[in-house]
Amino acid sequence: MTPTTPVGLHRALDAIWRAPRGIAALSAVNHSVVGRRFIITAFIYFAIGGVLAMLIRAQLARPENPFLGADAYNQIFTMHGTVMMFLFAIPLIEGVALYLLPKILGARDLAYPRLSAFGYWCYLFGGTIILVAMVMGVAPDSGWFMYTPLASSTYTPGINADVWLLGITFVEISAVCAAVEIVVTVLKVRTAGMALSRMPLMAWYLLVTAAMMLIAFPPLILGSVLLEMERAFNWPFFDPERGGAPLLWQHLFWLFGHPEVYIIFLPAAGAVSTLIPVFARTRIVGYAWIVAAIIALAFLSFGLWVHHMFATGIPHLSLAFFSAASMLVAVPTAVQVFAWIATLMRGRPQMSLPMLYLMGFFSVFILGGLTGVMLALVPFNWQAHDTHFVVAHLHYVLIGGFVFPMLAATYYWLPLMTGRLPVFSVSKAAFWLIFLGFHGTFLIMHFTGLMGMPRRIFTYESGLGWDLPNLISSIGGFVMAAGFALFVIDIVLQTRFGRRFRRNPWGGTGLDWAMPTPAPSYNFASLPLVTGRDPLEDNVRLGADIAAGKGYLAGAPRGEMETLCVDMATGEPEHVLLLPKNDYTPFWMAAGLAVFFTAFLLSAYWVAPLGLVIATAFGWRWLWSLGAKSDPALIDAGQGLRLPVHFAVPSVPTLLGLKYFLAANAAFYGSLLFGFLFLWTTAAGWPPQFLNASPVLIAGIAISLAAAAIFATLARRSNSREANGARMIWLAGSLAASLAGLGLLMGLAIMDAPPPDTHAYAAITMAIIGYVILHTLLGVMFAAYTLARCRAGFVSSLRSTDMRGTAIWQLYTAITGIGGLALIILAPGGLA
Amino acid sequence: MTGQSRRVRGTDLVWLVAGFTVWAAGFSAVYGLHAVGCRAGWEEAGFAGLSANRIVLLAAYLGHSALGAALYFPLVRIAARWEGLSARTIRQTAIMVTLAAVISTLWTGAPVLFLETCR
Ligand code: HEM
Ligand SMILES: [Cu+2]
Repeated sequence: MTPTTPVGLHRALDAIWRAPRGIAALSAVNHSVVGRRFIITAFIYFAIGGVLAMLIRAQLARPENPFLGADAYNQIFTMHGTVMMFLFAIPLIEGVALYLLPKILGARDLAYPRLSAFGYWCYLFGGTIILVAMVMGVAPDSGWFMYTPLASSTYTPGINADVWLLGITFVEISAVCAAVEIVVTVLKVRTAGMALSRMPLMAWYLLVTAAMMLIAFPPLILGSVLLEMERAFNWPFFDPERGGAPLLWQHLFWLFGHPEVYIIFLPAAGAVSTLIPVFARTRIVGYAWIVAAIIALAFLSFGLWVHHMFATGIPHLSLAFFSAASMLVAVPTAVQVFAWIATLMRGRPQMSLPMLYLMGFFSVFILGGLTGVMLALVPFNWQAHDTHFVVAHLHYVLIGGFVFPMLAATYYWLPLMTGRLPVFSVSKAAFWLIFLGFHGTFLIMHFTGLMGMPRRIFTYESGLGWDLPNLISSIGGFVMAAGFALFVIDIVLQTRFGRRFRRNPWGGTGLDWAMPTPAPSYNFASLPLVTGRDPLEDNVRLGADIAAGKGYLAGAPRGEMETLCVDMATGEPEHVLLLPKNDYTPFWMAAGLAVFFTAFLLSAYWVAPLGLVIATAFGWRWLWSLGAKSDPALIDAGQGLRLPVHFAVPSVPTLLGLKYFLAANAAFYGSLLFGFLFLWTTAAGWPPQFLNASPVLIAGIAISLAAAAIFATLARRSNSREANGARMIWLAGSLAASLAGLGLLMGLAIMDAPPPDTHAYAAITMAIIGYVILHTLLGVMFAAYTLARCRAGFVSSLRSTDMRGTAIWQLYTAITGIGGLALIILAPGGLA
Repeated sequence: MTGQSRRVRGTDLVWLVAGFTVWAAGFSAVYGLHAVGCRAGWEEAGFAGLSANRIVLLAAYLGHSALGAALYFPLVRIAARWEGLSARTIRQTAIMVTLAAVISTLWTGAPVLFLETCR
């Protein structure tokens, strides 16, 4: 008997969705659990970064302070910046996104729960590596942007820089995973009727942010990989003595670094756009305008990176492009600010705790924007460059534009997690301490900077007029720290002793408030049909209806974890996504990577591949667990709707995810090719020696890669025609072609290419060849995998994911491989 | 609108990014060609008082601006036929973004009209 009462539904669902306890918690993949882990870990890193900030302020409080030496100071400010940006801000956003998205989209989980679990472990392990290094006193010390040559082995011989490069790369894997997860979830995993135009704005913001992450993180990962190769194996990408260019690092870093500022800002702005209409008791003004503005902002933010390099002697004309773009980016930001103000004016704003923090955001962020426009003016930038003015500006933007809105969001959504409301007076006191302390610290720092105090100096002499402002900044810093401590206490108090409430304490209109609180493990007992942008306003009884099973996929009659996938634009239900049960695979796969990174860090280069083997083995197992051995029947989704299962339709989310992953991968490769062109145009005497590739070899490689792609496509076609003999033959052909290509590429690398440690040309050429080799090797594995899957009966004309995925991979490899080789041989000296 | 109207699809979403993709291509082209031109000595060659470098940059600038502006016409034509949920919002947004992208292309590349190239 399937239960039909709300309590019965709850029991049935909770039985299969409940988070595992004890050691089995390592296998948890549910979005609420993983999201919460991200958020809590991020706040722990925030506390660590805050303690480091206090050490900085303690040191700078007095002139010629003997408290910290130069060495310790360098490590501390580097770690402060690194922890705050990479281990606090980005993961907090990921955590909020992973936790909230299904709840606001009307889904039971994300598109790939295991992927975000994997991302969490990468984050935790990578962050731990960095933290352990700090405790052992070998933390990175070259500044959070790790400029070369300062970060090269000549100037930073210890492992400090390697800790940064490897640790951050490990953490960034989780960012790329989260980005793929978010994009696919927003586009596909929503409830019925949730058309794009009915999505909460927060979902749009997170979609755009995640898309930016896909393009922005790869250049940083590439830069880190190249610099690590230089440090570990002496490949001179950045060494000017051997044809490299230190500026290449700056380009790669800021290609990531500026968009990063907006990646942090956009979700925070999303929270603002969510909260303002709720507390103004109205709807947001200019929905379509805001969507247009954030899309524009996402693109424009990629046209700004050189403004961090205004002082590096780049030609005026180039500077002018970037200066123009830097001013332009203010426009979409202004559009959002006007929409917020208009919304406030249209409604009847009510003061409440989250609103208080939003007021803090407004007042701080606008000042930060003004100083930002000042810095975008090239002549002023030359003046203020590398002074405490920049430090002040950066904190106005980051704390104003990110921390304040996130605190508001915390207070807004915490009751959803805990089912309790805050104890108000403590929260208010915390706000005022943070707010006043913040201005006390950073307002005056603008003047300290204008008086010429450089950033990143561990001490200063008395008598330059810097003594008093620094003391005030330090006192302000400690007041702010007290405020944050109070905030933490308040959260703990609220969680333990807060006032209980029944649903929807703030009067929100989104689906997140249509569930019981604290949010149940499965989110929705049945998935509602959404009829507008404010589902709770359209139907005040929606919560009760959902709990009573008056929606789609009510309960768990099949014992499966199910949610809907919809048409991207219209939100019409397309198929049922069956979600994975708890699984240790993500944990072990991340553990394999941890072995790899740690071994590399300790220069145990022969152990490192072992870690990769472990990770690959678990990756294989993961893929193998997808799909089924027979064609599934249609599922009765309720309300008279019968839908196919996700792995039996062509629009399966897995392939969409693969495509977005390849987009990130292409950004990585594109940055590598950019590096080749950059070195060619800037370095002197290029190229010094020639690749002299034999044309026959190059042609052989190109033909093999193309053949592998064509055969894989033919295999896919045979499969959809149910020509099962032919599909095996084509697949085997694709496998053989990839193997041949692999052999020839190895030949090129060993016989023709000059030794990579001799010159930057040789190094970057080898890096490109290495990229192609890696992808061809993976092509071999994908073809072999799909052959095995066919033999084991996982593949049919309906269940074609493996076939399609392999064809996409081989095509990508062929295009990038042939493109990269073409660049190499067309550049001077490429061909014999 | 007419008998030709059809439901808006996922693939139609490319219109939300098409305009700014042209902007990005134009931005990269102008920036990249400028670097290559100064390196390869295009400054010396040229005719009619314009250096080859300037001519190439102007061509890239005006070309991408024109391309971005040209996107507008098929967009309005195609978007007019969209119907169903989201059609109106996606149409409005796509048109706004496409126009914003043209303006951005004109604005960010404008320095090639008057600044010296390789200093
Ligand atoms: C809790 C209050 C905070 C205080 C008192 C504080 C203080 C400081 C100070 C004094 C510096 C300059 C060090 C120097 O150049 O000598 C600094 C640098 C920096 N801070 Fe903060 N900070 C705080 C919070 C944050 C937050 C929340 C973020 C980011 C989300 C952040 C990101 C950075 C970055 C990226 C740098 C540059 C590090 C470098 O130069 O490599 N800070 N901070
Ligand atoms: Cu910037």
